[in-house]
Formats: sequence, C-alpha cells, structure tokens
Amino acid sequence: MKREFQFRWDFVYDRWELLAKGLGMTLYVSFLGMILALALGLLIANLRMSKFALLRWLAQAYINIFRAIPLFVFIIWMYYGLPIVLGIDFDPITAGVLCLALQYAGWLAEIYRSGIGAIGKGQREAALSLGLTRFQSFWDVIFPQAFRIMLPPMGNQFVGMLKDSSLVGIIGVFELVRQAQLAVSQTFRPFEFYTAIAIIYIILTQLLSQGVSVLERRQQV
Amino acid sequence: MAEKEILRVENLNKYFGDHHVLKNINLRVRQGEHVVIFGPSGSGKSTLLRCMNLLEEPQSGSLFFLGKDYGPKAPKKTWPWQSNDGLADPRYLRTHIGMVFQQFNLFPHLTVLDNVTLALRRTKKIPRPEANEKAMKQLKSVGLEHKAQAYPSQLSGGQQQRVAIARALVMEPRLMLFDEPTSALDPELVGEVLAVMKDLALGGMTMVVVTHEMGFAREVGDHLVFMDDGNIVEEGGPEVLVNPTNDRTKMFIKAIL
Repeated sequence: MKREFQFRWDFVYDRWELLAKGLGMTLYVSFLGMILALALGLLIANLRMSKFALLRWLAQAYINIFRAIPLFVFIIWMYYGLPIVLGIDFDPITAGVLCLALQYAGWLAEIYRSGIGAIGKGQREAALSLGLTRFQSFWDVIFPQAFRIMLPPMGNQFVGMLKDSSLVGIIGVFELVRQAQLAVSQTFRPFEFYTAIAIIYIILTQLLSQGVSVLERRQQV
Repeated sequence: MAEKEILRVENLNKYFGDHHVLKNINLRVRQGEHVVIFGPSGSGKSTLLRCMNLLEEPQSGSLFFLGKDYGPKAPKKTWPWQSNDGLADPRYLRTHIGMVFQQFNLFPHLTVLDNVTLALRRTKKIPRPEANEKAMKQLKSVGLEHKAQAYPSQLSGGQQQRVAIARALVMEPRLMLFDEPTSALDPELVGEVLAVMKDLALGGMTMVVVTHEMGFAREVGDHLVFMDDGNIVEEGGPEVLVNPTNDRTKMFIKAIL
C-alpha cells in the first residue's frame, strides 16, 4: 500500500521570515568569509612565491594544514577549544567567519598561485623595464591578467563557501540550515523545509555563476 | 669621438648557478653610439643586455649609468620609503633606459594606447589626457596611430614590436636596449621593425642592439661587439665585420653570411 504524502507548503509560507533571516545570515557569513579569504589567500600566495625559503615553507605549511582540517572539526575547535586552551573567546559569528576564511584562504592561495604563475615572466620584466615598481607591476600588469584565469575557480570556491557556511549552524549561528531545523522542530515538516532551502541554495548558486559569467565576459577581449 | 659616456660596464661577472655566463665584461656606450652585440646563442649577449637595466643582477663588477654605479657593490634603494641619498635607485635607471624584448611583451589586457601610456601615468604621474597625447605622437612615429584602440592580439608581430618600441620611446629614454627584436618575427615582417630602428638611429638615439641581422649591424652599427662563451672576443668599428682579426669571429661571420 502506498502512503499518500501531502506537501504542506503553507507551513513554509507561514514561516518565510525565519528562512529570510537565515538567508540573510548565510549571505552575511559567506560574503564576509569570502572577502577575508580572498585577502588572506592573496597574502599567502605571495609568501608562497617569496624568494625567502622560510616564508615559502610557512605558506606551504599553512596551506597543507588548513586545507586538511575538516571544517566541522575546525569550527568546533575554534569555538569551544580556543577559549579553553588560549582563553580566546569568539562570538559564534566571528568564530564561524574566521573558520571559513582561514580554510578557504588555503584553497584560494593555490588558485592565486597558479593564476599568477600562468602569466609569463616577460610581463613582469616589461613592466619593471618601464620603471614601474614591483607593486605597480603586480596590480597593473600581472593581476588583471591572472584575474581572468582565476575567476572561474574562484567562483567555484564561493559556491563551496555558500554551502559550507551551513556548518556554522552547529555553534548556534542561525543561518539557513539552522533556521530550517528550528522550523522543522516547530512543525514536524522536514521534507518541505529542507526542500525549500535546497531550492534557495540552487537559486543562490545559479545567481553566483551568472555573476561570474558576466564578469568573465567583461574581461574578455 | 669625445662624446659623453652614457653607460659603462666594468669587470662584470654573472653566474647562473655554476655556469659562468659573463666573464669580466668591459664595455662603454657613448652618447649617440649604436652598439651592436652579436655572437652565437649562449654566448651571454642577451644576459649582458639584461644586466644593463638590472633585469639580471650581476654578481660582481660595476654598471655605471650617467656616472653613477648601479652594480652589485652599490647600495641600492629597495623600498619606496628609503630616501634617495647616495643610494642607487634601479627604477631611475630603468625609467631612463628603454628595453625592447624578443617576444614584444606587450600587455595583452590593455589597448595599444594604454600600453604606451601606462608607464607615463604610473612612473611620471602624467595625467591621462596629456599621456594620451604623447602616446599618439609616439604611435604616429612608428606608423600605428590608427591602431591606438586595438588590443595587442589584433596586431601582427611586426606591429606589436613597433608598439613595444613606441612604449619604450614615450618615456624619452637616454638609451634604448634591443634584445633580438626581430628574432620572433616572420621574415616578411622583419623589415618594418628594422626600418623603425634605423629611423631611431638616424635621429641620434643611443642604442645597444643584440641581433643576428648582419645587414642592420653593417648599416647602423658603429661599435660592433662579438661575444663568445661569456667573453667579448672582439670589438671595433664596422670593419670588424669585413676584416675580423679573431679566428672565432671569422668563423662566425663566415657561417652566417
């Protein structure tokens, strides 16, 4: 005998404010995490390409370690472990954003490195030979060219972060998944709520890849 | 010829690892002089040229530009916040020495015009309208003002190299370095680049040219330098090409003519 299942979307509709708040938090955490990760990743990539062996080694160690730790463990450790060990006490949002940023910086550093590495050394030499500083050579000549190469993999990282941001729910940040859990506990309609947020994630990811494509096209010559 | 000295290389040594690439090189470039460096590949001629604007750092010796030493012994300005007192600033040297590369090295993400104006805007802080005006004049001098809005990938190799020459010239350098400027070009495009270089030479520009174009060397060169295995084997006026005294030079010239 087949059990009849009735979708009750009205439960979702009644609690749309919860999901909207969750969406806001998801976006907030991921955007903040991504901006920090982009900045930190660039710094690490530069260290990774430094002429000093020690700096290169430190950057490599960072990448190896932070990419290896499961984000779940990292978040627990940052939020519950650090106060015990070092007495550093973060609020949940800060701890969550930091974990996302620190981990993704490792991935992004590798993307930066391969993007920058793909630009021939002749470009840097031409820039320097015109009297540009190393800084200007990087920002005016190397980076804009590398950016085109890095854009698609960076877009993928951003999509990854959007979904990984659901893990910060475990320390009590009410992002999309956590809000859905709350709604489920009130209504006992898990199927509807989890389907609803899945659709929201799909739309977000679509919007993001559209944005990346637009940027890519604008970069094309 | 008692013309003013622009550049002087003294006892210059350069190693790549264990490989001794430049062996105690001495060379003087006077104002208005057209130095042509030739020799077999691997002889160190490109490395010598690249040492002249410090794209390669020699390990020992001196590099005098307008009387100031930029060699490895000279204390260098490395960071922008250091004052200029007594320090040799590689950027000063590079701003006043233009360089043209074998592979052109135009900036592919910028238009031809922006390629030419970038250094004016960044190094000399010239505002864009004025920089554009200078750049258009320079592009006109290489016959490419109609390509100002094009991107490098839309140009032929010869046109790209002419833009690269304009990009270096717009900085009004005291000295132009050419690193095998026609070696990457289709044979039919070599002529247009050499023509621009000849014009430049006739206009009195001081030049150091690494090239295999012996016709150009004979016509334009007034100080010819033959290098082999990291040494300057022979140097002199255009007669070097006609009556070389060194056996190695004789062999090389016979082989390529």
